[in-house]
Amino acid sequence: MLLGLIRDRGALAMTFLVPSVFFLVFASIFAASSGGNFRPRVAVGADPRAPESERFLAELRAGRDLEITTVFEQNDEAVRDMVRRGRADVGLLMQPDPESPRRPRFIVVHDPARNVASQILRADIQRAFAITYVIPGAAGNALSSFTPSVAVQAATGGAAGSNEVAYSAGAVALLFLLLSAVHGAVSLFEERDSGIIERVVAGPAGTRPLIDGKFLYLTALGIVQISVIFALAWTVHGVDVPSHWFGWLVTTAVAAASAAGLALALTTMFPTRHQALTFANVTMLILCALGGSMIPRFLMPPLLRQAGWITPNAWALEAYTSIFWRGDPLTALAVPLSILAVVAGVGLVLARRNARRLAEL
Amino acid sequence: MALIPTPETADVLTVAAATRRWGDRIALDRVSFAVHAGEIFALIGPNGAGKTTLIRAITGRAPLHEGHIHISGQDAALPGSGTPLGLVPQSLAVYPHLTPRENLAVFARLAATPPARIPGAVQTALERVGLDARANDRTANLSGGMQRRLNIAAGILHDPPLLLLDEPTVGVDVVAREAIHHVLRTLRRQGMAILLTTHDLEQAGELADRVGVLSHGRLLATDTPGRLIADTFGSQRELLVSLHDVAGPSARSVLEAGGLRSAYGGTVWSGQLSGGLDQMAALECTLGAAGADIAEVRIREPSLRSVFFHLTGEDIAP
Repeated sequence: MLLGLIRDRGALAMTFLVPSVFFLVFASIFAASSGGNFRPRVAVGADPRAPESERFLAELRAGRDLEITTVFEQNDEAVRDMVRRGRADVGLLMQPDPESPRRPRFIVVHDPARNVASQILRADIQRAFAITYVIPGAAGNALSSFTPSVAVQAATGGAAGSNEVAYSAGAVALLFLLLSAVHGAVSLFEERDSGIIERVVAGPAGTRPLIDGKFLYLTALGIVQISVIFALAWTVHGVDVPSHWFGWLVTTAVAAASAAGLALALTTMFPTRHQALTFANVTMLILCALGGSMIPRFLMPPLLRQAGWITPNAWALEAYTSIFWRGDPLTALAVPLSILAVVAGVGLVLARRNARRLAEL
Repeated sequence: MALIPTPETADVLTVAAATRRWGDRIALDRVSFAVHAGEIFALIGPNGAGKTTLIRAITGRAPLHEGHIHISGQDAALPGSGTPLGLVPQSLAVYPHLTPRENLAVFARLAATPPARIPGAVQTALERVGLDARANDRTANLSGGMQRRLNIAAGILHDPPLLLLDEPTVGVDVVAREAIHHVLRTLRRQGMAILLTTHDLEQAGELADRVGVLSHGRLLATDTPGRLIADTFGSQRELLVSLHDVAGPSARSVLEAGGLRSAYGGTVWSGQLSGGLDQMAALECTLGAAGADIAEVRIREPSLRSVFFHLTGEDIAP
């Protein structure tokens, strides 16, 4: 067995190299995301009439828990837009409080899918508020005056929490979509071992109808799979799928096609079922982790967040977020859907090319 | 599509000086033969003789280093040539969970048959192999022989002029084997050219119009089974000597001097006895004196196995 392992380069790579790469990638993602290093990006809109706003913001920055990205003056809509588009994890509006001329009131503009960011911000507001507005006159203050006036608003008018569920639905659906596409694609090896591919290669049309048929089947299966998950999100959690059915359907179809193309391309690269299954599964898990299907990408460090854009998951989730959270017009889906379509097309072309070689092994 | 003029218009498959190497090993060494329409041509040879390489070359999966192969006048090596042939692999290349009808419908689609023609093509193929009565049963529930016939049906769906079969009766009983032979004879009668590879010499003798003897990548002889036997043995019969133990050096010298050759590790010797069968009694005496433990001495009519043994010095396991 040992000699067999040593002489089989593919098995060696699967045994030692792939698990090592898998560990390094996952360790980077999870250590960075759960080790307390997450600094939410905060877009701030401060009304100049709000008392001590400059000092308060300086205290917020001094806490080092937040990354204050932009400060707008009297432009609440710009703050909401940044949160809607994911350019900030959370927004903060500072406004004069008509009931208390010495203290502002705060509005946290949040994205339900990034709840942790608004929780961190609210904790920091407490701290900075105490330092800025309470401690200087602490002796004369009642206990109630330690509590800032903080309201929480969703960045859109959508149902609070719907983006969180829509995000989860997309993330989970894509995770299982990629894995089941791999399992569907490796049936090619059973067909090769039984001589079906040999027969098809000798036939008048070659392997192309076989690969195209598998691509269509895996795409259709993926659409059904995603539909089941979103049907549950709609019926159990109230995600408004019917109002966005067209954008959702197009995104779902293209995402399923990209998973099918990718799975077929990956599996046909290898000479054995075992190698193909191992490599493709590991690749899909890495794509899912980087692409936000396991943990939201906004929790990742900037480098991994950027790297996530190489994954179909990130683009599909971007499209679902655009549909269910931002309520963008369909034209806003052009970029993510084009990229997913390219993944599907390139995957299909590679799989067609590899399939003939598979028959010759 | 590269059409070439063919002097023999009935030649469906033409293999000319086909040479293929795998690294330093020559798998096909200037192999040449033709298969005509309405003919069964059996390629016989042991494992490693080059049969699989030849099938791969004909299906365009193993490009030749020298020579060429034409199917119905079309170069089999041209990429995307879509040469008109049907292949029946040795393994059961069908989907066990589908019915024969569903299987054939799938293979018809994979062969790019126009959708409107699929039901008719499927029905015709089922009838040709005699499976129409079981067309809607699960393939996994059919007998081994029926599954083999379905395997053939999937290869003839698009009605190719040339059908390649790799060991079509391996692992089936005598009745199923005869049913498969019947199917192949019917296809021959309908004008199909059939090339089958086998190491079942009895099958080749019964079924084939012509036989090619392949050994170590070389085609040693091509003719009808009767003519191959007649050319090799004339009207003479063959002597078969079976020993209980492997012949020792003395016995071996006696047998070789008598013109016999060994098979099965030296326990079975056969061939045309030098000096004719009149020398049989003398041979037995000499062998006994040389210490050979004789189990049986028999005279038999020469067969394809005898020819193969004579030509190659090897035997094929029956």
